[in-house]
Amino acid sequence: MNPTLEETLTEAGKKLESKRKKLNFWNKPYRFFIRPLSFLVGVGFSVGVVVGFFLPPILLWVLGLLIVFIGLNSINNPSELYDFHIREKLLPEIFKKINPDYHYEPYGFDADALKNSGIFNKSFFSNHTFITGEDLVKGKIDDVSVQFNEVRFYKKKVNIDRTIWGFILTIVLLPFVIIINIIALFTDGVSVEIPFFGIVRDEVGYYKGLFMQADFHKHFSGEVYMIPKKMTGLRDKISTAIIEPHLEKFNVENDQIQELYSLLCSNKQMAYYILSPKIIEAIQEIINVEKVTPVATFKRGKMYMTIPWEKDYFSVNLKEKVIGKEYFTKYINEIESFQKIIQHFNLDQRIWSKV
Amino acid sequence: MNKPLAFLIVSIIVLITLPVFFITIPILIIIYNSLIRKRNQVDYAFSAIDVMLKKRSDLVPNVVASVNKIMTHEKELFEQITKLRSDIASQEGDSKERFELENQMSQLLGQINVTMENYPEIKSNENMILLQRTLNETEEQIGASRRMYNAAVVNFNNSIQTFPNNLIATIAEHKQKAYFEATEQERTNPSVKNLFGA
Repeated sequence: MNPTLEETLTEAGKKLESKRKKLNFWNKPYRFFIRPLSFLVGVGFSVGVVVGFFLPPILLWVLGLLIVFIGLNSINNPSELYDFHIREKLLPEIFKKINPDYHYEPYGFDADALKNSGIFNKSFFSNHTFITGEDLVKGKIDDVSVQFNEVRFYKKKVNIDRTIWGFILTIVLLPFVIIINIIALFTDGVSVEIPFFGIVRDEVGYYKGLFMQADFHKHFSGEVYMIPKKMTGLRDKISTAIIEPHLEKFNVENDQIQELYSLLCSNKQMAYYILSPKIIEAIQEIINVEKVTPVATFKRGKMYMTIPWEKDYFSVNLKEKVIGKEYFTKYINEIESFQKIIQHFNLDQRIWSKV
Repeated sequence: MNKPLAFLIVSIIVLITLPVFFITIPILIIIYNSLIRKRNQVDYAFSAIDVMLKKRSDLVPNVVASVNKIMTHEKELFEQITKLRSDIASQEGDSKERFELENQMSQLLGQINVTMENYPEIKSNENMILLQRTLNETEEQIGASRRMYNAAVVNFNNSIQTFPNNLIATIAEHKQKAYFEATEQERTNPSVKNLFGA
């Protein structure tokens, strides 16, 4: 650790601990009083609105509940405040001290990089409804332009429990609806429609991982895809062949990679040039050491990779005491882990002759 | 298996299966066409490798001319390279002998690069660095082409040796193709970074 960084972290540690203590003090009242109260007031308000239709004088109370509800909700969650403070204030500073080329953004993702990677147009990624991103890091590692961030893909998934309960509720309500409609028929009253809850779909996160973009150390035009076979169903394989007929399959000498991946390229000679034995070995090492199967693409002189894992980079815990500069070691290790990935691929070893 | 014997076996199989809607004839056509496609893939892969090897061959005189005045103690090495270059030029096509000579060339060029480390004036020369990088890139391209070629050869050789393809292959006189084996140096260290220390 360099002395400037050490000094910054020592100072930051003291300030952070003082802030943490204050926020932690308010955390319990917030969790055990304000949040439950806010929930109860919300419920009371909803009930009040319904009852207010029949008893208009109660509407004044409902208005009062609304004001209280808004007031309670305007109180910030201490945990979120602490998280915000670390991500927005401290981490950018630590990144800059470690490497002035680094630029850190706590939230968001580079939509262009994701689109250019071609990863999320392929196989099961194409089913997503939206994407979220955290901890976007841009910068240079050993003269290699890189970008990292955590991404999460969401898709719509049938909620079986809620669908079944909806169906049961429909059946339970059905006799009442029929009776009401029969009465309405004879009394010219208002008829009621048969309630049907249908299939309930939720937005669920189905993929979380690290997304990486780096300048590749070889000059090439064209594209190479390494898609894990477990991510490509028969339908995907067929659609890939139909939608992108310019891609052809190729084989590599490495049995493990061959077994795990569908390898597609726009030009075989270029594919072998890109996927040198060294790069294949590096990917294989990630597979064996981290027990994950990354998705990799190589397009227009860049390497894109997403590594599926549940690691939460730069996680924040309000309960954890800040004891001096050592508290930040985990963050520094995580920053260094990005550097190691790039160094692992030797992308700084420029191969091409043209600058 | 010789050609007349293969022809005889194929004829017998065709005759036996003829009543079953001439089923063997389209199968034989499919096998023949697939062998031709695979052979063409090998030829295509070889043409890619040939281009790269020629490019390297054109680079060699430049490399030798650029460094032999400085690397005065390596005359023997340069003589070997020059002789090897003319030997390679006399070899034709995808013969095993040519591939062996090309591998020797890779090893000698590798030696030059390692030896260059001992000459600071070379390491600081912009033109030399560019030349090294070009050579480096060419070596990488040769490596890639070789892998593509070997993959095509494996595919082709497997096809012509398995039954019933071997019968058609014998009749059509398809011979096994030679592999372009990687050099020992490449097997142990696929990366070129140690050669150049870029």
